[in-house]
Amino acid sequence: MPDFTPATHTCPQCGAPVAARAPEGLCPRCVAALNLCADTAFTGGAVAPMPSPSQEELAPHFPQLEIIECLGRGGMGVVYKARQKSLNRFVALKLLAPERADDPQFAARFEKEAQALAALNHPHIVAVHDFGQAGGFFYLLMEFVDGVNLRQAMKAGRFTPEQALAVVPPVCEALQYAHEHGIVHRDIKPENLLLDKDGRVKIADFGIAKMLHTEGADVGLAESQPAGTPQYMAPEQKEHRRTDHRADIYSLGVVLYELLTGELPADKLQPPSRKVQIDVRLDEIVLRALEVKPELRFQTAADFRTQVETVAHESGTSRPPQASSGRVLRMVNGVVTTPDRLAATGEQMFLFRRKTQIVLTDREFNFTQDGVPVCVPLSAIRDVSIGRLPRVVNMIGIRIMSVTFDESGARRQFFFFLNDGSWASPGELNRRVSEWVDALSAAVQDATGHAPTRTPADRLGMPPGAPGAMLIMLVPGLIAILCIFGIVWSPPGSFPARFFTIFPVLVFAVAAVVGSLVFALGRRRPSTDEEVSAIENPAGFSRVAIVGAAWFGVALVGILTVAGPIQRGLPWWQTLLSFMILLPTLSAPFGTTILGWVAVSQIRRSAGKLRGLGLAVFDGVLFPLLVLDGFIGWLTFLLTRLVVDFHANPSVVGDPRISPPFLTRLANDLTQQGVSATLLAVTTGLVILVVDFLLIRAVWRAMNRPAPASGPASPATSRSGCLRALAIVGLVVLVVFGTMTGVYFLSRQPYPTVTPSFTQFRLEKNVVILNFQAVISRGPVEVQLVLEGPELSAEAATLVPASNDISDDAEVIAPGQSAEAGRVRILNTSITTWRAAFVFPTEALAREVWENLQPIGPLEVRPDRKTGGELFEVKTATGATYTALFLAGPIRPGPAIGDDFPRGAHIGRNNHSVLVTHDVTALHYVFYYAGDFGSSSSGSQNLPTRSWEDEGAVTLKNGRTFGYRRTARYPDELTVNGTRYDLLKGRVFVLRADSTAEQLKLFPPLPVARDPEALAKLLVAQSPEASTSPAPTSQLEAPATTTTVPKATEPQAIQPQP
Amino acid sequence: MPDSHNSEKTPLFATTRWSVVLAARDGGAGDAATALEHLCRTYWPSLYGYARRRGCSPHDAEDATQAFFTRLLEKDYLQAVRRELGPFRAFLQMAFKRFLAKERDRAGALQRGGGATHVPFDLQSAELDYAGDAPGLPADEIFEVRWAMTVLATVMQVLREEFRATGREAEFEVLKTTLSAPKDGMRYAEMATAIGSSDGAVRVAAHRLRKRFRELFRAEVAQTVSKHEDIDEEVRHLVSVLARA
Repeated sequence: MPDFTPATHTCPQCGAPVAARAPEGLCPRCVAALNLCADTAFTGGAVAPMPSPSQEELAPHFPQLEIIECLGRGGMGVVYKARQKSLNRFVALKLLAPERADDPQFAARFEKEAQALAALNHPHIVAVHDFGQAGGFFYLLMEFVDGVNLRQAMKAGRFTPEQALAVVPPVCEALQYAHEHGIVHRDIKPENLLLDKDGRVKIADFGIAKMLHTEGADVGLAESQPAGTPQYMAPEQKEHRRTDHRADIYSLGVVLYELLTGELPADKLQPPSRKVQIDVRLDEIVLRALEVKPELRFQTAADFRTQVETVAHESGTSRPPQASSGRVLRMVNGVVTTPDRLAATGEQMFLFRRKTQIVLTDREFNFTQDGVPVCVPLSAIRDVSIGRLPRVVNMIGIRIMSVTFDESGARRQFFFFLNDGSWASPGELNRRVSEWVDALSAAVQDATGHAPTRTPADRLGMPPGAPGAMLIMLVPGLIAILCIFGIVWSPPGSFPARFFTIFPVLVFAVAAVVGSLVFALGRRRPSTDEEVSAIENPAGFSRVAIVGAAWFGVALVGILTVAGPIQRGLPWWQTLLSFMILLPTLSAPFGTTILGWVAVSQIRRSAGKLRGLGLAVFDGVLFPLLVLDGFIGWLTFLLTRLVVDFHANPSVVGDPRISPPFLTRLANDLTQQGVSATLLAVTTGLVILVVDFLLIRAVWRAMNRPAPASGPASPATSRSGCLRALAIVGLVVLVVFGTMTGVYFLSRQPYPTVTPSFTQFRLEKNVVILNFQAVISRGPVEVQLVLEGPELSAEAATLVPASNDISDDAEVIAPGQSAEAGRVRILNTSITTWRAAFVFPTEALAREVWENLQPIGPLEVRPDRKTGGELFEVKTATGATYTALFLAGPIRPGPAIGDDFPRGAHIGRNNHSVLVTHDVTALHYVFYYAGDFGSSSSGSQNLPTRSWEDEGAVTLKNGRTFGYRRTARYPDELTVNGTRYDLLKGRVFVLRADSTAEQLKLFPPLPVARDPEALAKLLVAQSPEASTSPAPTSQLEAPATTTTVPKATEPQAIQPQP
Repeated sequence: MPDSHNSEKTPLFATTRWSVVLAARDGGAGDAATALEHLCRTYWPSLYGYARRRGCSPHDAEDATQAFFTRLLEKDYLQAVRRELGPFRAFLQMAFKRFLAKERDRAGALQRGGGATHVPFDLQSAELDYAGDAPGLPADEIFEVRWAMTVLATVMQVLREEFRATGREAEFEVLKTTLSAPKDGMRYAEMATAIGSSDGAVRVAAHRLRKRFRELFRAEVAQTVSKHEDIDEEVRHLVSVLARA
């Protein structure tokens, strides 16, 4: 048969040369192209046999590409992975239908389609980079998708419904996009849906089916197939009827069906939910996509997508109640609880945590309890009623719905609060409940034929509220508030102040006692059953209990703070501290107690899943017990005083009929705070302890009685849990305390610093003129330049040139002046410059100084001394030394008084007190008195102080008005060099402004008790005679101002300044 | 092609020869030895081609293949086979590679025959096959291609034998072209006149031939895999090799 046996050694099919020894002389490639894989679908050359040219063969035709490997072959052609050399990217090269190479019609169609495809630009469509004809191949150069197709992905493992649903929307999106561009895929199947490495879906082979098979060309061939893959083809496509984009929707429906069920739809289509457990709403979607008539399907891919996404979204969250069957009649967001739960205080307080969506369909009643959907068939519902929550938690009487139903033989009752916590008027809520109860009853009647029963509200098993418990919780808080305000408002030194100062100690003591008692009691409960269960299911420690304890700890810190650091420190620090502690401290008694009882109820309900009952009970009883203890103590005190007052009364003392001698003695002893008082106090303490113990034991037993699973499950876990809880509480306290301490220390006013510098201005004969600059931080400070050395001779003085620089501008500093005599600058926080002229005996010395000036580093001003830097030190030929010092120190009264006060008239620089007030207006003044608090013989240190205050308002030149308040403290008396001055009689009052004195003039003149000069004279004289002859005549009123200052008179000069 | 080998009919998919070999390797049952020998006799050209491409002269290649089979049939290597290794093809290739490496270490001292089983080879045919292969192919590829070709040739042989048994060998000569020809390009009418039949009958016959070919192909492949489930994968592999050939 020469006609049929290939005479030449080329394959009639693919045109490639056939090896001489190929089996039966047939081209092995083409033989292999027979469908050898599928077991059943073999219909004899179902697809066009397509040889795959080797990479070597292709290479010459695609010089721009480096063909890497053959990715696969299908009915549509062969796909190679290639690298595009110019762009250095991977591309997929698809060769199509070589047998059509000569067909001009195909070429035209290919070009048209390929152009349309290349126009498709969508993230979920495999992009076409290029197309053309090369070496007898039609080719498409496409985006290379590094991944697998959906078929391979399905083989690797079944898709979950969620995964399946995730695939569809992007495909729909891409299809919609393509359809809008007039392109129909016609061959949607898992093989054409690619998943890249990131899981993105991309549609491949868009429109290629149409390219290769037009309807017209195919119909005539008996053995040929229509475009597409039969299993995924829409009916109209199979029958070669007119197809449009809805064919793609059908194909995608088949894909979705396969993804969901793992099977292709059979002839007799079964809903997917019959085969697998999926959301029934998906049935509707899939079946609609698979409608035989295109008109009944989704009309657009976008429709399809929307439907799928709706289901995917809802099933992505918790399983929705309405996923069940039935028509939804009513739906509302609300809160669900049970009678058991509602019995617990915690549940009453935190009712709104148990939110759910409540759905009523014509078949079922659905809601979610603790994340678990509960689905009640209407036929199981026995009772639907209206109830009311306890008044304690529901003061305005909002109604709730009670539903009782049978579930596997047991009767269950749920309460529904038809509001999820958002605002709604009570009337509306109650109406909503009534409507729901009616609707539910009606639905049950429709479903079963008989209406559910209705129970009156008072017989619904609604737990009673616990007003007593609430009161107990409130009382400690009220008491604590009283305490805090007591501290704040009580004058210092009064009884409340003293009591509340020891209050923290009391709290501490009671906390320790209660804690240890609870701990001791709590350890006594090992039970083997619970141990086993705890080991199997390790329980968590109640977080609420820990928070409660931590709250108490924070409050403790707060109380200690009120007693301590808040009374010292800067104003802003005090303010900050107050805000920081006020809230937690005031709320602690409420918070700790409430949280404690909430924790108790949680632990008791948790059936062993929560531990920490001990800590919870501690939280719960601490403040109530504290109040009780305080009450007992107070009662004891009152009774004792009653007894003492009576028996120590002189009218009864000694009358044996009324007051036996023993009692009298006892009363006397108590009055004098002797042994009896101590005994009484100890006894009271013991009584308090016993009462506490009994109460705690009772509470502990009560807590453990009805709920055996609660409490510490095993000693080991309990102890570690306790330790952990303690550690957490300790940590919180430490953090809070540490923060406050840190803030305190940071807020302390650091030492002022002075950074001096100078430049050489001029050397004139024997005068060195320097320009000084001082940068002051955290002023004010005193700054002084001193030149130490032998005094100038007369001739040296004559040498000083009569320069304006010196006489007018500069501060002349000559050696021999005492430090006190020199000019002292009080410098505020600022940069100040001035000029100073140092006068030397000889010009040579001045020159030497000029050449040996030393820089001075920053000076830190300590409160108790002056610090200084040396400018220079020179020696004369005679051995005399001249040293210049830059001194900086705290402002002191004496020399700083400056022009208003004679130099050298300072009283003493130790223990002086200066009150400095800063304010934001940049107005700054220093107000001080001069005084020495007893470094001397009288030994009267730490004198009680009196204060002076001045308040007013002032308007500055720039128009701003602000209020001011000036205060000063001064001792009642002071001793100067052995002389006592009675300050209450108004001796020493020196007021002065510093360098900003000009601004100070804005203030009304301050009343000054004495003429400074007179005062100075007095003090400089330091004569005991002067001070020991005070005149009784006094002028107690300040004449010209409304402000009063304690004054007294001094005989020498009674001239109040205006 | 190995004309000398028998054309015995084996029940399809009952048990594959390779699985028999694997199952019986420890027991040393006669079945296993026969099955293995059959496999070896069928597929030795692949090994021969591989050895040739690795640089052996035709004689050395024959010796190496022969020695390898001797060793194999003595079950030296089978002990090392793990079932998960997959198809016979993979095992054979791996084992032969190791064998060659070992033999080379012995400075080419190939053991000739070993006096045990001697598998009859058609050396000339194998050498011709080898000569027909593309000169640039790597040894592994030669092995794969030879293997696939062997499967194809074996199947063709069986098919031809079947037609011959019913006296229709001439018919086979005509119909076999339908195995590779494009279906729309088929000249059914001409074929019909050539074998004296109707156009419809030829179509049916061609369809049956393709179907039978597919069955036989899968059956042959089945002999070389250990598990039924692996057949499809192996078929796909062979198809891809043939497509590249």
